Amino acid sequence: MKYVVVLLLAFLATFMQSRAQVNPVGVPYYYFRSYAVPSSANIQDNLGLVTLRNINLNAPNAVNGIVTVAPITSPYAGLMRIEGSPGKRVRLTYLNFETLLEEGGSGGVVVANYRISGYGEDNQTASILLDIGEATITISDQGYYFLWLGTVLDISQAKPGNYVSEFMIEMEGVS
Amino acid sequence: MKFLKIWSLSSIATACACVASAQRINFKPFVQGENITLTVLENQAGLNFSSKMPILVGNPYITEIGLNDPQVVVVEIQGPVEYDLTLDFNLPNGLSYLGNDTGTLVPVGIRYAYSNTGEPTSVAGRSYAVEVPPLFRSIQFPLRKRRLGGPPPPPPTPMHGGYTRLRDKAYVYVYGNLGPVPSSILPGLYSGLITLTVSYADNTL
Repeated sequence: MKYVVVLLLAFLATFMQSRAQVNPVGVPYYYFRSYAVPSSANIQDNLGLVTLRNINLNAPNAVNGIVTVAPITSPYAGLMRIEGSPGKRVRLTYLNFETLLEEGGSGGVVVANYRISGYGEDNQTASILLDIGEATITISDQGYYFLWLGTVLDISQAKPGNYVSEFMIEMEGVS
Repeated sequence: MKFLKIWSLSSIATACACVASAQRINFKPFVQGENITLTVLENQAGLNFSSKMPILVGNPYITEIGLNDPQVVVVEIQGPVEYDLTLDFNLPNGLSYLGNDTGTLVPVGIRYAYSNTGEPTSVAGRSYAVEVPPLFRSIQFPLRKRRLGGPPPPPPTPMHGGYTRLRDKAYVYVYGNLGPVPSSILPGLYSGLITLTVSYADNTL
């Protein structure tokens, strides 16, 4: 009888000890740890300008020393296409007045006044003349906006030679 | 006396049952005060694709942050040296606009690698990093790489009085690629959360 009780107590003691080891009171368990890594990318507006056709100043005849290429009606107008997100508003800033000097130093002067018309589709006659120097346009649902470049070129003070210029236009997304 | 005998037999049976179930060894219950700690060593702000490619626009190109790029997020795992670890990744399918569901996601492919050769720094560990194949969301590896060819190591020494278990470090490198970005996408900040969970490997399964 005594032997059995001792055996039983020994069993109980072992059992209790192992329980204590498994689940000690007040000791927190950390079987796992989690961490969240943020992943990010800042997507910017995709604005692009493609020149489809350069302005042709050689073909039209000068009238009283003035070469006129009307942006809405002239077949010699330059054509550009702005590509961007549909519905995006874009502010255009461009050089509207320029004086070109003859490259050879002959003293010849050409004065250029640029005019721009624009439309959401490739339809020149439907295009609207934009404000001089700065305009805000809205890109069409197809993601395009077309610009026609014309000029009023004063060649009355010009001398034979080379006159070189680049038309500059700046685009800025308006939020 | 007879009642006592029956009681003692039943307690022996319980003890035997206990021993029988203990043959499936699960070391988790013996993890006491031996916490896993995770520390972000590099790029605590997260995996930022804009720091790799400052101007990201809608185009068919893919921006890739490789394992050896400085934009990689490096996480240090500290734990007992003898344990195996399970790494679970919860990865986003894509990055969403300001974290909201706008219907358009920027596709993202998150990759990760681990280094468990016991190197003292994450920079040294990077040269031994094991790249986990794409689409693997969960892997298991020992905190300290074991030698190949030898017999399996003994199980971890149980905790007992005065015993201090050795700890070691492993490194996890998070990187990936972004794109192609849809061309008609709304500009702005696109984000997503990668959740990394490290746990002691459950050897009973």
